[in-house]
Amino acid sequence: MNRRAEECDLEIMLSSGASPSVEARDLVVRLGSFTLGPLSLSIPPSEIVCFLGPNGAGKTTLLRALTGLTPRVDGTISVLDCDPATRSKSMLRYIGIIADDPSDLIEELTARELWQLHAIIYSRIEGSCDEMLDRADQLAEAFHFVPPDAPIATYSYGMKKKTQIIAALLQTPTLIVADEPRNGLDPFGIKTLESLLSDEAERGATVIVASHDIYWAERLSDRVGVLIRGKLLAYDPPQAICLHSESLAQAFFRLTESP
Amino acid sequence: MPHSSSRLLLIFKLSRYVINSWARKSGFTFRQAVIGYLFASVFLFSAAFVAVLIFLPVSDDNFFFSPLFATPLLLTLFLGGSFFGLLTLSLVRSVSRSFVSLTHLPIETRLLTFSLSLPIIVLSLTPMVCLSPIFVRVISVSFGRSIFFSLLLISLVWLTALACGHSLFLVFSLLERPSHPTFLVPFLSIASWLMLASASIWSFHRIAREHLDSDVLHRFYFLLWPAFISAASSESVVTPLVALAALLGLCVFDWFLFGSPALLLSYKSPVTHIRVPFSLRGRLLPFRLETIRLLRNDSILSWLASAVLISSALLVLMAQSNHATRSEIAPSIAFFIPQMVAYPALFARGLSQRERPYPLLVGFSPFQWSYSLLAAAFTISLLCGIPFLAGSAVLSGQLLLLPLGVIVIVWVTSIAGIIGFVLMPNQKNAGGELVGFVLTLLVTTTGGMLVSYLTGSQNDLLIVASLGGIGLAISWIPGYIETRRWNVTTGISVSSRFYNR
Repeated sequence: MNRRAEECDLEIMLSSGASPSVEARDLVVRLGSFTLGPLSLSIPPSEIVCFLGPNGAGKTTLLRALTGLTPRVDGTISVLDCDPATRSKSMLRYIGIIADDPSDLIEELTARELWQLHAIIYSRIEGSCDEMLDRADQLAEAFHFVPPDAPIATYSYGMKKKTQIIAALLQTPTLIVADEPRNGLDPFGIKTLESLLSDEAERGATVIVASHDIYWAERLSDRVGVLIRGKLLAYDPPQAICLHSESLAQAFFRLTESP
Repeated sequence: MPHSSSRLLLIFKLSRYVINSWARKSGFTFRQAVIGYLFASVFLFSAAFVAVLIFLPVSDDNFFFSPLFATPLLLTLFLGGSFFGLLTLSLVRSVSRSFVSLTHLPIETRLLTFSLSLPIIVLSLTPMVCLSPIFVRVISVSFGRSIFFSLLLISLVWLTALACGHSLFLVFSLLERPSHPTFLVPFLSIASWLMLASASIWSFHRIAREHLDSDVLHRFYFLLWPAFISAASSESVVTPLVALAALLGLCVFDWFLFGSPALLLSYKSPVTHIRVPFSLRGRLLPFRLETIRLLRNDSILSWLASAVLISSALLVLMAQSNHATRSEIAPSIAFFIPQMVAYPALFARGLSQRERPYPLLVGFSPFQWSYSLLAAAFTISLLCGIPFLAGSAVLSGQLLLLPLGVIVIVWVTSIAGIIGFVLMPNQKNAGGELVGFVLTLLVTTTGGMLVSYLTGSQNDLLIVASLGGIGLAISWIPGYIETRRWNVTTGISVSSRFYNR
């Protein structure tokens, strides 16, 4: 482990609840011809933040930048008081990432084997492997998901998504980053996911979600960010965003349709 | 029904789409892929031409220009071509899933399948075309025929071989049921190919026994069937016109086989349902993880099953030969078996996503993961190859062949690993699979010849030890490639600059 990562270890241990979980200043990310930012934002602990925006607005790019999976060209990011690009093991232990495409999972493993893999890796830093596997079972029960004893490649899209969500949450993370987590879930799964994310925020975790469901975002989140063509046009509580509109949906369309 | 010119345009555009997709999956642009292909083809053709001019001078006593050499060369072409036929059709089937959405467009299925397979046809024929100067020269001088006739004869042999391979694969694809494991079709096709090969060799064997003395046999050991040479084909009854007609017929037949809709419909997930009794718990977690992944992939399983089948056949062949022949062919077999079993290293990297492989997302370092992947592939190759290497060592009475074979596995694994990390062949990147396969074969073989030339040694132990040493010395390269790729994905080099602001 390099020196920077060791510093991160220490900072995670020492980080108090008062400092923001995520802080970005003048962040600029470039992917080919697309540029995200410059944008600045701060997300305190226990908050649920939802990013809305049309396709190609930069939601996934922002989430990847926050988890150190897309290089930034300018600005700074601090996630749990660490530079996400270092992707130190100690930082990853406290982040639960639900990527947009569940087919990127290790499809040769069964769901239980994948959860076991996560539990073994995370328990090396903190926690008990068996406890994490018990939690995975509880989460599966909450989703009414009985994982087949077969490789993930043979699962339906929704089953893969549930496998992915459980893998991301079994270590009780401090920060949850979820890109389109509702995709492929049945109505019962969506309801379970909503209550799970709320419970996690109540426990003290920070939840960052990218979604296309405005109504879900309005109901679930403490703060909403609206991204259009790589710019963060609004970043406020839902009530503040729809101050001059009847609903968040109306405010969203007004923002996106304005030149 | 589209106009014929628009059909041609459609075939061209769809083929371009396939090449583009392969190039992107290997991390190249379309232009880079095409330039690379042209460069490699010109290089191979020039090398073959130079080899003809420098190494194959015509003289009466030149062994390479005798029917005794030319006939088994044709036999080798036939057996190699039919095996290549199996391989290429298997690749067409594997690539079909990526383009299944195109079947919803108003395009004839046969036209679509043909367009998707065209790049694979071109790629698979390229090495044959590039090496044709050597074959044409040998056949022409050996049998005293014109260059045109020799070219026809070689094309006939190669196309017949491809058609045989394609037919075998297609028959088993059509007989396949959804409940069958994916590796069954390649396995049965290889088994049938072995029967075809045995029948061909046996027919030569009977004639050759009467014509050859043991001195000539020694010079053929590298072809693996030294006892199966015939001088009979010098009295060929095939006229150029008949040959040309047969050639056209074979082209049409092959077109039908390649364009079979059965290939598009018969795709199945490459992840097998076979359970590997192997736990993630314990030491060496990334190694365990990658071992499980490799053993649950049907493409790799079918490759290993084929390698086991061919190795078994070679051992049976050895057991049937007399002691002198066994001693002659044993070193070749000890070099050939590692060539076959070490290919999991080529396909291993392609199992994971290109920029964001899952093991790196959960915290393994690129170097740790790359070494684990290579170690897993090496272990599987070793377990697969050792029984056959031991068998050939015992049968020939040369026990040293076992450690030498293991060292060759190290060499091939390293080369295949590097090529696999660059090209990342997988079921959606059939071009990468084919190019990777040919490239690994070329690099490992020419590497062996080069080391032999540079050391100026006839000592097998020294040559193989040098290859093993080089293999170990370059085993860090996949880790380096992966680290570079991961650094680009995460921007780790720029982040440290900005974080300390």
